[in-house]
Amino acid sequence: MIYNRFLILTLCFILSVSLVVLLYFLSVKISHNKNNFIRVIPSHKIVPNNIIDLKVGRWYLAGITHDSIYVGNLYTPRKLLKVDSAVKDTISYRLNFPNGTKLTRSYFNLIEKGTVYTLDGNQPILLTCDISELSLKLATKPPYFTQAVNVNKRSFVFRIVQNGENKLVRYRTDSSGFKESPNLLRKQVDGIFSTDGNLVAEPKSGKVFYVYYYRNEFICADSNLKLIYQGKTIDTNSIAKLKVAKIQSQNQTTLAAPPIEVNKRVAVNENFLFVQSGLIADNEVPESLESVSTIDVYAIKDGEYQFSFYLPDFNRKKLTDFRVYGKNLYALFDHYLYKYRLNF
Amino acid sequence: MKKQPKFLNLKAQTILIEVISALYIILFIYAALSKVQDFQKFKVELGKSPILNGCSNSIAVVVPGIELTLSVLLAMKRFQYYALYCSFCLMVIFSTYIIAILKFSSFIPCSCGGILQNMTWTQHLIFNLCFVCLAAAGILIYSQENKDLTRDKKGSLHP
Repeated sequence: MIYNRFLILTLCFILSVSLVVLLYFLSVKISHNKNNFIRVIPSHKIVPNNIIDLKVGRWYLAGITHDSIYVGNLYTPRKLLKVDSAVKDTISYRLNFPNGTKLTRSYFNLIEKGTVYTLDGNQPILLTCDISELSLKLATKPPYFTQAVNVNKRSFVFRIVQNGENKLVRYRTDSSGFKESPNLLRKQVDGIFSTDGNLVAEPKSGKVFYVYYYRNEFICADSNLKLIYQGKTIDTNSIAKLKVAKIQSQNQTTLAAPPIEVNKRVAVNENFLFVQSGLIADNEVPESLESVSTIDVYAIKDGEYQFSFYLPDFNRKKLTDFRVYGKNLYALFDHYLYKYRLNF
Repeated sequence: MKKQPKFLNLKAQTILIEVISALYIILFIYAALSKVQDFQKFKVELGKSPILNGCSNSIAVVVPGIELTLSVLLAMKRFQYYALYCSFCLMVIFSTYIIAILKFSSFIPCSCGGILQNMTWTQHLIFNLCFVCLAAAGILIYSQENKDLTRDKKGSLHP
């Protein structure tokens, strides 16, 4: 009798598990349907170079100069690692903040042209100092923002929320407030989610790129936020596929269904825009994409698609951040920093 | 027929089973009420799930429904034994779902209410597996004599 019960329990167990597995496979089917675009995937476009283990912790790339890469810590604002460009040695820095500085979780550090910036768009706060000093001082109070890139010594481009819509504005550190400009972002479903995306800047020319998460579009503007051109990524999602819902009890707007992420992460160098895509092309097999991240390359001068390459997972860690500096691509796989050389 | 081996005397066995059922009843009622209390939020959060996106609306109704029904059945001695099987299945389903989300899904939504919200997904999984084991234990020690017990008006059990 007790064996009977074991048997029934096992049967119940198997049935329950297979029910979920069935649900899972049904949902995978939905997300892997044809997307109607083709990727060009030439081989040997990138060559693995070196790798370094940053040890435990969650990291992000804070800045790159010709001889070093600065890596920030997602949980400890004070921590800053400097890795030499050969990716062999690390030097640990400790930043000093003014007394009484409290940062929220939205903080991040930027290292650009020998200057360290610590930003927190929730307070909002901007701290700055020379990289040789490591003691940050309060700059003028910036407006609230949700993303920021440094375009030159004295100015940033911020993404702010105005009247319930995302907007890009230019902010000069020696002035208060931001410069009003026409909104470059075009809303589709709503003003926040449908215009969500990645903001990056190319330091040499000061060009600013904004790549939408949920549709096949990106914007190229100069450092004064004057539109240069509007580019298209290779997939066919011209309308953001989003379902937005309002939770009344919390007066909160949120996504009501898993969004279709078209463009996940973005990096840029002098000539090319690198976009990590979330979609599978018709000439790819789902299984082969399970352990790689796909990067599509676009020319900066006209936004034309060039080709794609893969960044394979390292030690089963997925790509968590990447940046390109000249001919070097630096990719973070959790706590591993991997350097690749570009062959183009 | 082979006589069922007896691990425990009837009293200890009954107490154990009642405790397990009580724990399940508390869990199910708490979980169901916290879902129903802010039903709209629950529905929205469930819709974000990468696994349930096809049928999240019906699941939003069915899950708290099953939880409430099971907690009633667990309290009734006549159905308790079978309700334990169902509870076992439900907890296995929840656990498998968590594993599927953790292992195979690209992003992790949150759809639990109340204190359960404050658990990490791994803690949540361990919590669920404990309940799975409890139900299995309850089923395995459940003897025929226990099935024949009846509850009087005051709630105490008699042969």
